[in-house]
Amino acid sequence: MQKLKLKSTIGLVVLATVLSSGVEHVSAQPAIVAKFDPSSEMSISGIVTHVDWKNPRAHVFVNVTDGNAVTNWAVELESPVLLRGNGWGESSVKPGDRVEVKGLRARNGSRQIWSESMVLAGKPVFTLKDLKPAIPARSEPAPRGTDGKVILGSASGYWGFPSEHALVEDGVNVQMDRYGQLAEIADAAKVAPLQPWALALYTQRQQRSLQDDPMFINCKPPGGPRQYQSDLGIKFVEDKVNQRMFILMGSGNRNYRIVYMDGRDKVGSVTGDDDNPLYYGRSLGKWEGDTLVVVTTGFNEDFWMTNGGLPHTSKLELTERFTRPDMNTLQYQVAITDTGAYTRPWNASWSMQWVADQEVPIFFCQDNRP
Amino acid sequence: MKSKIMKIGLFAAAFGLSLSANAQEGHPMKGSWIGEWKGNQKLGDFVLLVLDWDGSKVTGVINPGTDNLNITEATLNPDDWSVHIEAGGYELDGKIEKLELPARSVVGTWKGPEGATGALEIVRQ
Repeated sequence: MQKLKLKSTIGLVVLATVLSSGVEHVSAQPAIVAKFDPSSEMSISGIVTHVDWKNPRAHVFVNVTDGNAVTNWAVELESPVLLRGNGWGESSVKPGDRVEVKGLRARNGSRQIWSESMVLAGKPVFTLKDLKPAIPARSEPAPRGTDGKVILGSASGYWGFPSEHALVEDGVNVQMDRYGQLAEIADAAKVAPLQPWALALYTQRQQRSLQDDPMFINCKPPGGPRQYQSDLGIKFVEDKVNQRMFILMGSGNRNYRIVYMDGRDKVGSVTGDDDNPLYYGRSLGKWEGDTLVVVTTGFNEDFWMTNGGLPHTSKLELTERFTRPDMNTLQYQVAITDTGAYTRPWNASWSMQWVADQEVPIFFCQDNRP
Repeated sequence: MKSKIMKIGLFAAAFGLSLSANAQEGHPMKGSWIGEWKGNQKLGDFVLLVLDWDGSKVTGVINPGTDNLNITEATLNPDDWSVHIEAGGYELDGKIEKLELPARSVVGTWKGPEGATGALEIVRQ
């Protein structure tokens, strides 16, 4: 029996609960509300026909019977990376199982539901738990190599769970969710010193609930500071022989970035193809005491440099400072100069947490599907 | 007749290409725009604009390589996304109809040096 219930008020409460529950789960994709309408909660009951266990999000297809009519619904869940981290797998529900699902209906009216929970034989499946590791009461000092320099990475472990998920100028207090969606769009002008066109574009992206995010709709890489805004994290691998630092990303289809540490000049010398702007730009790094300082230029304009959609241009220059004050903390500071989009240079900073004894998660935005 | 069909075909092909073109998430006017300034008997209906943003103003050229017209004035009003372009005695006025990529377009009118006028529709590549 088909059971469709639209409950706008309850839907909002459910979504607010999900998004603010404090569950620091590894969310690989932008706002759920970009695709699903929080004012349209519904529930279905039916028989599982297929489980599509693929990134960026898993889907369970359910046949719902109403009288003589049978319709197939796609129930969208979080990414397999996250679900697997919570102990769920491709066979947690199987074709033929009867399931009860509650969720939010797709904005375009298609038979798609977003759900973070599902009930099978009276028991919830695909529930989420807090994956963020506990911070030790007493943190060990940062590890150092034989040359006395701080080691930012190690064989087993990665940096994840950033304290901020979107760029906001240091000292500015605005409320936004983990996807960079402002609680009050009127606060847009406070976020950064935007030029008028950039403010209008940022506001428009916010008003559209970030649904035009190229990382969401086209699997574009999380270039610029965005690579440090994903719970899926990053990992440093230093190649001292060749004087390069590699930064591996868990969020951007396992992209990597090279920071040249050999003292070469910035202009025209990185790879000799400076007319080919890149998602991660071209980076030169050096140590200043215990801080790795990386200057990057040569960005293209094909991506959003932060969750939430702050614009940038090819004039973007980043000066990033990475400091590991103790074993479990990575402090990230970025100075942003972009005379094409901002009225002045500005700064943002946050920290990331060490996830010990784990490899950086493998996430591919495969199939190019939202 | 044959010429008109060819122009329509060219526009359709260009429009199709634009749908698969790379996104450009920076300044909304930057990039290549193709389309028609309809009824332009001097230069033909097909038009190509190549625009750039230098951080303070929009620069560029109309019909590069064929009937080059250097743009002397180009503005974007972010309050309503209206566009104004001047080049070689021509004035183009319009509005970004759909800001979202990949189907960003400007729809409006054009005025020529001898009082000619017509509809303008260009799509970002």
